[in-house]
Amino acid sequence: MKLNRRNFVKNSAILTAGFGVYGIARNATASIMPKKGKRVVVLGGGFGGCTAAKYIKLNDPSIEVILVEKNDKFISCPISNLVIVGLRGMDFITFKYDQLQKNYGIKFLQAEAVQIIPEKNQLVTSKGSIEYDRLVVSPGIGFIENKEIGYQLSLANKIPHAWKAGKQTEILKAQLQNLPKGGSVILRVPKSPYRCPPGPYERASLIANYIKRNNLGGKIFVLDPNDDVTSKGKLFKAAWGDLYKDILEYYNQVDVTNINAEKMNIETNKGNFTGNVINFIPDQKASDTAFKLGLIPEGKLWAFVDSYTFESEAIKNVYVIGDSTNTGSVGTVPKSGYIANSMGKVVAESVVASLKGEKPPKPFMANACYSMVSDSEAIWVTAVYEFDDNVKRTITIKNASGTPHERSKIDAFHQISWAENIWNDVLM
Amino acid sequence: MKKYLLFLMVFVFFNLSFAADGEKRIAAVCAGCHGTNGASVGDSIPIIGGQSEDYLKKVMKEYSEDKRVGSVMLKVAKGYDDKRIEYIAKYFSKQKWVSSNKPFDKKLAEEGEKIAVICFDCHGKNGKGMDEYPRIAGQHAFYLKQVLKEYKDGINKNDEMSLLKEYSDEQIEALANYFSSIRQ
Repeated sequence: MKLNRRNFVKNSAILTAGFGVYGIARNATASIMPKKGKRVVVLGGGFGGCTAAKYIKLNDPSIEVILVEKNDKFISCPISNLVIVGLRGMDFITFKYDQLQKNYGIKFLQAEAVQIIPEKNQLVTSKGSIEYDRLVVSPGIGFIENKEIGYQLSLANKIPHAWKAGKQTEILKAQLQNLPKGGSVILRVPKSPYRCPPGPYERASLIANYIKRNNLGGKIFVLDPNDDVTSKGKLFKAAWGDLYKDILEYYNQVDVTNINAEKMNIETNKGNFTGNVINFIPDQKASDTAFKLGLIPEGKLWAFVDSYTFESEAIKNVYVIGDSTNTGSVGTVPKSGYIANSMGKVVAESVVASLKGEKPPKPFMANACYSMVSDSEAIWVTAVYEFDDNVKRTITIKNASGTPHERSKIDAFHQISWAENIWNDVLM
Repeated sequence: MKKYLLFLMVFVFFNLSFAADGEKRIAAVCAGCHGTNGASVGDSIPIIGGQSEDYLKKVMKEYSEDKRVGSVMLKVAKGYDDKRIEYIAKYFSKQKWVSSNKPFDKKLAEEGEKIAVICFDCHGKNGKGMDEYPRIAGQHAFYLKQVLKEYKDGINKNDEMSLLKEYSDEQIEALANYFSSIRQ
């Protein structure tokens, strides 16, 4: 090889990149951001983590808060179903983290978590390690691969789950845009517990609405392993019966026995289904990060926490919130963005109190969310929860939960306002 | 004796401040839908930060007793007993009012101004509200329009607001835009 200018530049770049990687690897355990006063590190910039970071600052601005997140942007799962069917754009659900830095002085470190060193109160990241007094982890969900039925995450480019918003959202959206006339869509609901119970049914409704709106004459098959629709069931079924009778076919207690992504075919105990688009939403567990950090007990799928403080049962001074928590160890709350937002506020008071050597107030949480059943009508579910001293869990307050009598147009407006406000409360 | 009184006072004070601190969490969950400290930026959901305390109490009671139509509040309010309602009404009334960030229709607002005088008796000339009468100045136009229509249609029942039955949809829209346009 002749060493011309172009090659020289290319080789230097490779060399530099090599050093760069080596540098990171060597320095991963080297301490960065030296700690002076009290510090809380929050890992995970989703609904739970951002809320926790912000509300710790609101409760005690003297605490240094560092938010560690691997992505440079927040992309909202709520409203992503509207993006998939073209009712909203990606930009509507995409946010930067800059307001949290500007408005509350939260420090942002874009890095991946590698390891927790409990005895040193240290979080090792891909950019170096940081010390903490308290660590709040809000890592979200992970997906379960099932090789017996032929499901691997590597298939997600062909048969997307779109259950973490971002690139997956865009893949499913593009596939739907290319749905031919008379084409069909298969949507597989995950087995409970999973993130956002009404989410798969909202998506099914919106895809049926998309097929109807565009006169595609196709079908959507909803394959649900659960006994029945897991959330807002009556209301979803009423909408399907009234609006999508010839378009949406719902099957419960479906066991998928084989997936053939080449032939776009799914074999089940309820028959074989072939689709132009397959949206396979796999069963779920705590995120891989939670496993890697040692927060999940052997043989379990979720993080177990103290129901009052959210402190991890596995590691002292580490708190886990959001979808990764084991529901039973918290109470009766679902895995939702709104609950993660509520948990963020509970854990914020919890860590601030513990840094002062005080007992935090009792957990009090709420859940509220809207689901579109068409491009113009929505339904909702809500509940308020308080900590019960007898069962030592956060449980639903009697009468303070439920759904509306029927779908409505005003609730479709509320869904957007709801989203704008929760994004505001989480990120701004 | 004096010492004992002082001790008692300190004791009571600490208990009160601790209780208030604990209750902050009761109000914080509202922010998920109403924005941080009640400064809603979604225009179908009302701004409640800086709203009148008596009005907030009244509305929460109406929701919890099924005397008012609404969305999730029909259920949510039932999670708040009198003590909690008292607390959140106080909490949000003490927050800074942040007026709507959404555009209003200037022409409609001008039309509304011409017919708004009838609202002044209860809501004040500047729409800032008093006692049980809510602040409507700077509230979201979309929300105001929605609520006014509910009164007009008799879906929400209220003696004073029943006068809206005489108003056209255009007039209601004009009033909503006028009061929303008062933004300080």
